[in-house]
Amino acid sequence: MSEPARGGIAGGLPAGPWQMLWRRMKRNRLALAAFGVVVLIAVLALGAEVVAPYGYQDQFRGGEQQAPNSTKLTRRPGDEAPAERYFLLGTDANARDVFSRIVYGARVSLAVGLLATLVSLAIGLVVGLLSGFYGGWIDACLMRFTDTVFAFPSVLLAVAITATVDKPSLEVVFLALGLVGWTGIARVVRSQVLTIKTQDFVVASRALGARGFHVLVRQIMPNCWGPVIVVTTLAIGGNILGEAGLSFLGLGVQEPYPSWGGMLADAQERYKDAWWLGVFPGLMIVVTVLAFNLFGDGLRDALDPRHTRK
Amino acid sequence: MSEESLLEVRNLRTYFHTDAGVARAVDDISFSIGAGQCLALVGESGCGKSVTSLSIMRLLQEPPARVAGGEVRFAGRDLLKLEPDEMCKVRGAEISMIFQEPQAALNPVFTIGDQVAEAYLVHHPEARAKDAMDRAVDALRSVGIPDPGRRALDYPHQLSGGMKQRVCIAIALICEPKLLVADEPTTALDVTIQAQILDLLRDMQQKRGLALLLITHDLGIVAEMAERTCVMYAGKIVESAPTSEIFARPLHPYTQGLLRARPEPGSSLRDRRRLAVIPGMVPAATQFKDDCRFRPRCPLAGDLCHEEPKLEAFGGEHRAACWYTRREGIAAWAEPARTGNNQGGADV
Repeated sequence: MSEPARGGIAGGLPAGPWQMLWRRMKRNRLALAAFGVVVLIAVLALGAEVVAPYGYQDQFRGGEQQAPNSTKLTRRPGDEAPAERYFLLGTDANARDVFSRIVYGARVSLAVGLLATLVSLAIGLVVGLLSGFYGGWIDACLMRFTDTVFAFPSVLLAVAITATVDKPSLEVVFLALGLVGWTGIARVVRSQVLTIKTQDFVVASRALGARGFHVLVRQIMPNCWGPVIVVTTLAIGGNILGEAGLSFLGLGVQEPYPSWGGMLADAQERYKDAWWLGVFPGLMIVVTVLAFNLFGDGLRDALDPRHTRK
Repeated sequence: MSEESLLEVRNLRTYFHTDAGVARAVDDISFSIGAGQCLALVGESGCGKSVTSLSIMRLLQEPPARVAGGEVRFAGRDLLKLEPDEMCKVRGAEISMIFQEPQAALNPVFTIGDQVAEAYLVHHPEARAKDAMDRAVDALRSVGIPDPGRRALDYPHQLSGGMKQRVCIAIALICEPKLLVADEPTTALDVTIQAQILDLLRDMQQKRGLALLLITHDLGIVAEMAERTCVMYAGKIVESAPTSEIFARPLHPYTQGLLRARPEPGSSLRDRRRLAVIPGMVPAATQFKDDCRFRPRCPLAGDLCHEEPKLEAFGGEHRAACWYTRREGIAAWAEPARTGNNQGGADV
C-alpha cells in the first residue's frame, strides 16, 4: 500500500463497521426477507389496537367456533342489536376473534423474547467478560457455574422457576427464561475476549496507561459485538419458543390475555372440529422463530469475512 | 553518566517459566539513555530486545514472565517497584510505546480520531470530549496526516500502513512523554515509507526533546538514527558503544559478523558475492548456560569461553563482552568466498 492512499477511493470503502455490515447484509435476500418478517411482526405487536379488528377478549354471542373467512350475525355484550361481523381466521369456543387474539399475542411473544434475551445478555456479557479477561480462578469458578446451569434442561428449569411462583405473569416468564438462557452467550463472549485480549491494540492501550477494567470495557468489549449480536438474535427465537412452551403448559401469561402457546393449548381439545384454532397460532410461532433464526444466520454470514455465501 | 540519564536499566533480568524450563530471555543487561538521546537495541529475532522493552513498561504477562532482578530507574524512580496504579500513570504520560504492526496496534472498531482522543483522556479524565478531539486533530496534523479534521473520522482499515504508523505515533506522543520506546517501528512498512517514518521520529525527537529507545534488527536504521547502540545476543548485551564506533571498530565477533552480513552498497548482482552468514542458530532460551552464549558460533572461541565474559571497556564508552577481542579490532571472520563458479546457468 502506498503512502497517500485515500480512504475514499473507487466509490468509497465502507466507513464504519455498521456500514460494512449493511453492505454485506444487502446481498443476502433470505436474511433480508427474514428481517422484513421480524419488522412486520413488530409492527403487528406495537400497533395491535389499530391492526386488530376487535379486542382480544370481546365475545360475540352467536358466533362460537366460526370457521375462517366467515361472516355471522353476532351480538357483543353491550351491543344494542346484533350485527354482521367478519372473522378472517374464525373464532374460538368462547366466540372470540382468532385474528385479533393472534395480533395481541404477538405482543407477548415479542416482549418475552426480547426481555428474556436482554436478561440473558446482561448476565452472559458480565460472566463472559470477567471470565475471559481475568482468567485464573475467576475463570474457573465462573465457567464451572456456567456448565452447571447449562447442564440443566433449560425448559425444565424454567418450568421449575415459574411453577414456584403463585401466579405466573409476563415478568416471571421472561425472568425465568432469561435466567436459564445466558450460558451460550457467556461462552461466546468469553471466547471472543480470549482471542481479542492477546491482540496488539490491547497491549498498546495498556502501554498508554489504560487500567485493566478500562481496557476490558473500552477496548475489548466493543470488538465482541459481532458474534454477540448473532447469538443474541438466535436467542430471541429460542426464547419465543420457550414462552410458547410455558404458555402451552399453562405457566405463561394468563387468560384472558392471549398468547400463542396458550391458544395452542386451547386448540388441543378441539382440533377435530376447529382446525383453525391451532393452525394459525402455530404458524405464527413457526414463522416468527424461523425469521429470527434466518436473520441471525444472515448476520453471522455478514459478520464473518471468511464465510462467503453464494 | 548516571547523573544525567533519563532512563537507566541496571542488571535487568527477565525470566520466563515455561514447561521446558526457565528461559532467561533477558539476563543481566544494563544500559542508559539521556534525555533527548536515541539508543538502539540491535539483535536478531529472539535475542530479548522486545522482552527488554516490555519489561521496562511492565507489560509482560506475569506469570509466565517474571522480572527476576535489576532496576529500571526512570526520572529518579525505580519503575519495577511502583504500584500497578502508579505505573499506569507513567505509561503513556512519561513513557510511550509504538509497535511493529500499526494495523494490529489500532483498535479496528473505533475511528482514529477517537483513538487519539482516548489516549489523551486516559491521562486527563477531566478534559471535555470536544477538547480532547481538538487535541487529537492537532496531534494528527503534527505527525503529517493530511486533512486531519476529516481523516480523524476514518477507521484504521481505511488508512495505509505508513499512515497507521503515523497515527500510532500521534497516540503515543499526545501526552508528551519524555521517552518513546519504538519496537521495530518500521519493520512492517515498505522501504520508502520506512524513511518517512524515521524522518518523523527524528523530527519529533528534535522538536520535543524526546528520548528514543529504538529496537530494531536493521543496521541501516541504527546508523541513521541512534547516537549509541547496544548489540544484544541471546539475552545479553555483547557490545555497547557510540554508533559510529560500532560501525568503525566492531569489537565483538558477533557484531563483526552482523556487519559483514549486510549487503554492500554498490555491489551488483554481477559480483556474485553471496551475503555472508553467521553459521549456526541462536540457542533456545531455555538452553542458555553460564558460558559465552556465542561460543558455539564463534570463530574465535577458545578455552576461556567456557566462562562467561563480562562487558569490558575498550577505551571511552566502547564496551564489549569477549575474552579474545582486541582493541585494534582483529578480523574474526575470513573474507566470504566468491561463489560465481557454481551458478553458471545464471550468467548473462
